[in-house]
Amino acid sequence: MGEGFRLFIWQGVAILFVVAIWALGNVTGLIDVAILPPVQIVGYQIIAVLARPEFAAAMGHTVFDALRGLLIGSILAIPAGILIGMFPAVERATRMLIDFGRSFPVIALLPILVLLFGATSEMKVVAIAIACFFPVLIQTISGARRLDPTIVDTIRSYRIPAHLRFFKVLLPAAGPYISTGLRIATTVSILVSVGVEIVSLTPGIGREISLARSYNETATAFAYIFFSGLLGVLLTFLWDRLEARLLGWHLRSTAE
Amino acid sequence: MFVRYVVVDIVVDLLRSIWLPVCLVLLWLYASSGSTSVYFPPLAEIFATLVREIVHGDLGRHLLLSLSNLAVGMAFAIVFGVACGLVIGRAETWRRIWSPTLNFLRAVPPAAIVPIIIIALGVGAAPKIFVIALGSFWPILLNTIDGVRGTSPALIETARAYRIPAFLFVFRVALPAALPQIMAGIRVALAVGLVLMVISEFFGADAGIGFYITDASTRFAIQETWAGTLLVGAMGYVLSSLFLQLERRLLFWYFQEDGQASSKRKGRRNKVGGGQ
Amino acid sequence: MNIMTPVKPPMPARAKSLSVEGLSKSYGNIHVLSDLNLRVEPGEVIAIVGPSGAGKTTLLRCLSGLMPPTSGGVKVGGEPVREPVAEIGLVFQDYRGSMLPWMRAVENVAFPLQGKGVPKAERLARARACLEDVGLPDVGERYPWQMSGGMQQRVAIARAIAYDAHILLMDEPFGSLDAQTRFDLEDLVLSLRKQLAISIVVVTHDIDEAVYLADRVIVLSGHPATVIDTVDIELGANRDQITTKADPRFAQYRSRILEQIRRPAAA
Repeated sequence: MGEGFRLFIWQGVAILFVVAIWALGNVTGLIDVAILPPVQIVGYQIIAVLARPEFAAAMGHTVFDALRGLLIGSILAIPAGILIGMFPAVERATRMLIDFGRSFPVIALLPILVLLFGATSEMKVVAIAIACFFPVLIQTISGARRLDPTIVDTIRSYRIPAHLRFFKVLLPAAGPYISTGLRIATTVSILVSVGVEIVSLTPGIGREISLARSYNETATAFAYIFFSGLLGVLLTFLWDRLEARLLGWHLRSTAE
Repeated sequence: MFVRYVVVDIVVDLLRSIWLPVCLVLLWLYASSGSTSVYFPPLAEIFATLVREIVHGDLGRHLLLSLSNLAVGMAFAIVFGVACGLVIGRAETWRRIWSPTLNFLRAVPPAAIVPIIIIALGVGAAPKIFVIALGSFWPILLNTIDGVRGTSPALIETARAYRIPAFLFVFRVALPAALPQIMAGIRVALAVGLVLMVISEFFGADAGIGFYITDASTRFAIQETWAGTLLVGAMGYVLSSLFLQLERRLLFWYFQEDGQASSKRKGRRNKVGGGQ
Repeated sequence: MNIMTPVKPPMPARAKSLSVEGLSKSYGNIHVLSDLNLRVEPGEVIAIVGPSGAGKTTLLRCLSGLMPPTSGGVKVGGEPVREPVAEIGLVFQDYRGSMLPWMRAVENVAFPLQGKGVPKAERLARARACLEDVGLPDVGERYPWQMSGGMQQRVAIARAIAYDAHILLMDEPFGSLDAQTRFDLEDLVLSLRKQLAISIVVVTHDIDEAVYLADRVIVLSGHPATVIDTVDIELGANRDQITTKADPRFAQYRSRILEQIRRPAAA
């Protein structure tokens, strides 16, 4: 109660305010119903869509493929990032490639990926993995490079061998950065998953949005868009929880 | 003597950073030279197609059109994102009240609204610009809010103690103090904008680099598809490199103090991300 | 403190001497150290003092093998030091930076032993014993952020002892601590030295600390730094914060060193 409760109420008011603007736009005709259908119809569809048999399947496809891509991308990116971060010469040599990769809009690869793999879930996972690879890689590299100089000296003076340096020093030291990278990549994975589905009509929420739109069921499309946003919020929330557990030492040692 | 050393230094420096990319391109050239695979044409031919399409075809025109959409969309996103961010970031209560709404809206994949907007508004430039602006708006907004909130209280109190007028305060204190964060937001937004630029041209477009790629792939013109895709990659690289240069120029003071006081802020800079 | 209770100290089999011969170090055109010679016998405590910027830390980094000298060399037991060697344990001023924040105290102490290939049970037991040696019997399970600065520095010392170092190199080890904690740790160093027969080299800018701890104080000064004086401190083996520091000889040593340092470098 008290402060927190009041904030909660006001946050609800803010949401209602947005909905009210939307409704007002519909009533006055300022918002084109072809772009944004009336709020009550979208609201109804948000409920109605839950009852559709394809809903759960679409959600499952989107989430499952996003996580598969995220997993593959990160498993490749984390060790690569630490190795690159360990050796300045390697970091130099790969910098240009990484800059190229990170600034490449993966969606533009889609026509080629579809030619190579067909419009399949595997193709989608490949695209997601590529997109997730770079943020995790870049964060891991900067984490591995940003080691406290005193730790570097300590490790050297106690002659810690390479494998221990990798697993016991660099990996945990890069932990907070890797975690940031994974958080970014989690968002990216959903965005790319939905994006690929929209364009290539591979199974998932994106495909439902595209199909609904082409059947002129814009309100249904918006219902799916609503759930794709909810998915993003949910994953971010879960990630924050997990991070607090895994990186307790970091949060507490920087809190001082 | 001295000049010669400097030149040698620069050359060695350059070699250290480009030997690997050069080797990989050469490897690709070599490995694909005799390729008869439909999907992996020889790289040399892709390059030849790329040059031909730019010089004789209208790949150049497509590229320029896409770039102009991106530029206009980004400009809108920057103006609105920074303006809203400065306001919301200064008012803590407002920020807390609006944060669930903003977090939800940001989580909506911008690509999801592309089909709706494009089909409703037609094939012209306006819907594409709208989509690019909308998608790029969120990272800029959220980073600006973060930047404003991260401004040291001592700085704000100093400004108040010297009774700096509001106009000066915004442009000479609040904005520069939040600039590192804002620039980081724009960098993310640029990546988002690039993706949306391509996607928006996949749908019912008759021009633009994205259209060029899909059009080529549906015609099964593999070399053109590869050429267009590589061009998009090069474009992304050039744009983000240029932006990085700009960032270093604008934020010279920030990178100067780097390594000392700013390491804390540094960690926070990447908080709001999500290029694709 | 239960430092005096004998907890089977990891006694070095054969303590080794540390010698520095004609050591010079330059960074490009900046000469930091010039032709330094010194020798640390087994079991001896040496303090190196000098004004700030005299290259004390550079010297220590050269001694430990973290940094190669420009010319001359460092030898441990007659063997040249080019990289960090097993005989040397280092304690840094920045105790926060030298602790791995994701490891508990006992893991921090045991970590270098893992590098040496000591089995887990043994290295943890040894780490606990060493933590007891430095007066921290009960904090093994704590993380660095749960310990005060003085405790963290004790853990760093325990780590050096557990590593079986014959020579302890300490770089301004107590510089960031408050006065009371500093006195406690100085006494800890003296008692460890008695107990373990190790040599200790302390780099410090605190002249009181140097005189209190050392058998010999080496005064560095000038640009580049050279040894301008070596002072033998004959205050006996049993020292304590009150009587030793009140000893008139203590004041004499102190002013002699202070004068050396404050005298403008005769370069």
